[in-house]
Amino acid sequence: MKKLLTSLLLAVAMCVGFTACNKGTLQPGGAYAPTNSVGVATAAPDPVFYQVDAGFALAYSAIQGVLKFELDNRLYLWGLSPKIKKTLDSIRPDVVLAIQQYGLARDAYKASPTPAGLTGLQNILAKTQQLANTAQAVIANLPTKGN
Amino acid sequence: MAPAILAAIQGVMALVAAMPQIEAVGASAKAYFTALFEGKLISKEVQDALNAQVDSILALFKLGVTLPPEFQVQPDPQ
Repeated sequence: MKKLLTSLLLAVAMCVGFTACNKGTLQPGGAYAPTNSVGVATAAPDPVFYQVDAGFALAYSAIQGVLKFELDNRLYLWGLSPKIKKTLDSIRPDVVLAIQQYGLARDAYKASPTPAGLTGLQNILAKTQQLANTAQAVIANLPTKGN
Repeated sequence: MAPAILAAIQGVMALVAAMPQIEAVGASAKAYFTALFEGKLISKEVQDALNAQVDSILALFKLGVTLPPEFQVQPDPQ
């Protein structure tokens, strides 16, 4: 379990690194390299937007997995330590806010892709990844019964 | 059954319950990042799958939509 969580934390950390570089090649016709019906590009391929969205999807999955794990096992985890729920409760509103902000910024970027818009998305992604790290740290450091 | 043994079993069950979600995260990450790691072409299908996944996540958090229960702050257990 701890190995898996460590791998996930590493993956989330790598997302941050990936969003700082621009190495992907996008096949034309995909959502991040749109073309018209005859295959002519309708917008420039946007590998950084792909990387940011991939980082967001991963960070979301990591957070959602931890929050659902806590909800599904609430009574047991409360018995281990009330701090687990309290810590996760302290980030739940921030997670919702970050996701809503990401949605608004993403809609705006899709309507008008600008460097500033992309930077805004990256900043919200960084915040989301910090929340993912906080959530995963709670589960990775679970106390054992009796401790 | 002794309380310590019961607690240990409950602990293992809780961890097992979390495993599929955590493995699913790993699989998703692999799909989206493999091409980047290996410098390969990111196919239309992978792009469209990621775009659809992000769209479906964001749809859950639109204003006026009831949040998924795991994202809600609920009262502490008694």
